[in-house]
Amino acid sequence: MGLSMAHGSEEYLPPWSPAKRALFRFAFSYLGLYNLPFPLNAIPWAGPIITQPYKDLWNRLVPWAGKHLLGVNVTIRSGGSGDTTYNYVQVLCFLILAAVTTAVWTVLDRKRPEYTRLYAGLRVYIRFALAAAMLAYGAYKIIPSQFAKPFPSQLIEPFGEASPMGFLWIFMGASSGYTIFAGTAEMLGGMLLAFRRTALLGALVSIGVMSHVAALNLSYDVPVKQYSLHLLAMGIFLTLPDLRRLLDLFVLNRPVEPAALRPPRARFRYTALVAQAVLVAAYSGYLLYQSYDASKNQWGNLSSRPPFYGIWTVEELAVDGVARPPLLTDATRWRRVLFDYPDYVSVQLMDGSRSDYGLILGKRRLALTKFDDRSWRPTFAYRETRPGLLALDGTMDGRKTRLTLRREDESSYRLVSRGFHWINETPFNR
Amino acid sequence: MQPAIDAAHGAAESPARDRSVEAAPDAAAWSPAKRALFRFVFAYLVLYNFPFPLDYIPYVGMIASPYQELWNALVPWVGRHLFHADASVLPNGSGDTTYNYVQVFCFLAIASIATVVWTIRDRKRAHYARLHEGLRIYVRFALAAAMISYGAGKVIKSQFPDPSLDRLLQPYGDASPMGLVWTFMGSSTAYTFFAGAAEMIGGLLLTVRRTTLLGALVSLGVLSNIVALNFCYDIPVKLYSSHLLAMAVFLIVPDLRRLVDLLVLGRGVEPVAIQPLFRRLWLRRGALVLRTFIVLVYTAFLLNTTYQDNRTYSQRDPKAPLHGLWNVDEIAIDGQNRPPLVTDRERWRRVIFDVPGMMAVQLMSDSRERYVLKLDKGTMTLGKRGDAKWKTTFSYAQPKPGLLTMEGTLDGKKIRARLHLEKPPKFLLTTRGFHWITERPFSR
Repeated sequence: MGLSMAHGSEEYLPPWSPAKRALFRFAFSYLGLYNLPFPLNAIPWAGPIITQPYKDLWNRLVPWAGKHLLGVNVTIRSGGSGDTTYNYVQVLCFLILAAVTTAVWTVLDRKRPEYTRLYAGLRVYIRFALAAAMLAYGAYKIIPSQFAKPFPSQLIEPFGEASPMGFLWIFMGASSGYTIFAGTAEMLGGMLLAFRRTALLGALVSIGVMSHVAALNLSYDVPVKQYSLHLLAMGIFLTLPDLRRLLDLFVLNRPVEPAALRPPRARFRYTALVAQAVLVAAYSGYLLYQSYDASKNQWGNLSSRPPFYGIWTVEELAVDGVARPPLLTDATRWRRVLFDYPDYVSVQLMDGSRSDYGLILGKRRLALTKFDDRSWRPTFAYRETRPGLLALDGTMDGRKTRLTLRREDESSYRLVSRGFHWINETPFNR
Repeated sequence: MQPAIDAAHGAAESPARDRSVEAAPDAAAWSPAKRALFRFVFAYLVLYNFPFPLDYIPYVGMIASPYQELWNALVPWVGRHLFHADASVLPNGSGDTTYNYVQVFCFLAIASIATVVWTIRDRKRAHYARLHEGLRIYVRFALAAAMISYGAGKVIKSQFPDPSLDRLLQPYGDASPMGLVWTFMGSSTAYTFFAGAAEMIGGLLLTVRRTTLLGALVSLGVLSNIVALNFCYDIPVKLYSSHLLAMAVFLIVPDLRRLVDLLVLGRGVEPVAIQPLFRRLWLRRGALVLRTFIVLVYTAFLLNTTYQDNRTYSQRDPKAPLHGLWNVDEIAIDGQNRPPLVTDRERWRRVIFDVPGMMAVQLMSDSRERYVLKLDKGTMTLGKRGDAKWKTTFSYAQPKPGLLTMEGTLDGKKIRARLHLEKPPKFLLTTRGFHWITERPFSR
């Protein structure tokens, strides 16, 4: 009651039970540790540089803790997986540190009756940490860079040969519409969280979205399990003060108390709101730009495709003048050549297996390289005799090799060509 | 139409009485626009959902069939005369046929006419609070029935079965977007369960009056995702899922103000004055018992049905006749022997028997064709889904275990093939499993 009306030094704050205080100290320490160095790491461009020393500290501490506490060797790996041994040991460190902090804090600060103010501060911190994560995930989907359209090599890959995570990536990438939908839900949750008034709604939207994301990560072996579950927990943490109100309205049909929102200082109210809106808009704009940049420069949908991008069928192949017809039984014959990225080429053999090679593309000549055998370097003269028809002539493994490649029309693949239909007389489930 | 005021309920003392328009019998008069809108919404939603709930009652559903026949005559006629369109394909696995669109047009037209007539004849009425309450109950249960039914088909895997052997061998690009979703869902039992549980929770919450709003909000979230999937992956349930979404919105609208107070303005919110359906206590209790009983029986019935479906269609029986992956060693088409050239557009590469009642042919391009299969002694009858007229028979023999010969005519070509049973490869998709620790993302 008093909360919403009075503020200032004479404000009466009800005391908390000892258990609640202890729990709060732990939650404060753990959530603080988990999210640090936020918000420094979210500073556009400079974030990673500023926070490097902090990261270095953990990069020393975690392997030490792994070795001495658990007897495991922890390798520091960059990028990609968020469920490495490193991550698990780090979470263990957070838990231990938070427990120790709680114990010391409880002893030193046993006389304090409540942490109402500090709790409000923690909520603001978690709100923005979660909002930043939701906005970033959303931005990378709204401008599709996280999930790119399936590459040529993915179109010819059998379902069974992809990993569950690979399948999820193809599934999302196959529909820009769905990816944008998912990203919009994430960005909406993040934006609502950024404003105090709409924070509860934002937390609820985030809980809905993050349960879905966590379910996907757990079900399709996507190594973002820890992080997505933490984000989900943060969403739940933010709804806790309103749990009673939510229950009263949605289940018990009882009168709902007003929220215990402290009214902001009237003087700067609108200035603060405008500043906040500008910050959120600018940060979202920055994230969208980052996604655009990644999509353009890291082989997303906006990147320019390398020369010969596509699926090329090896129509004719002659080794030392002897033609090798495209028989399935000729296990070592090339079946298709796939140009996904510049500097790489993937070759599919008749038995379906694939090998990746480095590609050096000159004006009239091209060479293939192997990553583990520097001496292997077949070179071919190439000529695009007609658009979509490529003739290669060179020497490979000491034998004269001639190939004719025909570009397959990617839009002849059902996944690419099917498109949207208002009317379906029968389901097109192939 | 004038219900008695239940003094014992204590609604008279509650200030919430004024705002709970749908419940209070002496609600404030509605504006003419609101009344007209209500008449239209009422007419349309009833038309769209009818003959629910008759069609859900076992053995009574037959009563609904003359009604269905009526539409089956009316819709093609309207299609022909108004749109010059052929709307004769009845809804099958697709709910977005021309028929469905023409029918929705008919619903809209009839609802508009009903609104006009009703507005003229009933212009003196101040409001439709009571009728709105009745419509809410109808829509609530229609939506709940759909959500529970969709959920049951996922909680126990039947809507999206495990990926078949022929699917695992098919290239991604050869699948249609809808096929991609089916296999995506089917490849994770856990995720399918998660999706089904969310649907079932939404549906079950809708069946209880107090939790209707929560159920409608859960349904809104779940259905938005389903509608997005249906629109983005060419799944022909666009009309139906959009209608379910609209029904969830319809159920939320009266509480919009309360939601804004709760979630945005941080204000106090008064409870809804729940008007009892019946004056007599025993009737109220009886209704409660009956509703609970129906919901439980319906849910159990659906779970049992999907369990049976799962047993019949999803469970693969490795001991079934011909089950497995057959490599085509030799094949003659119209008497001509065909070597295994990947450029051959007609030649078969593999024949796969995995899903009960289906035969799949993998062509040399790795593209997959599927046929409906009826296996008898020595002959197999093939059909095509969605093409009742297409039919052919093959004779087959197994000279030795692991060897198969087939002979017959397909699309006007005589085919004779010798096949041998191949050990299926170990598929990454189905064997990768769950990993707590992943040192590097395993995205292949």
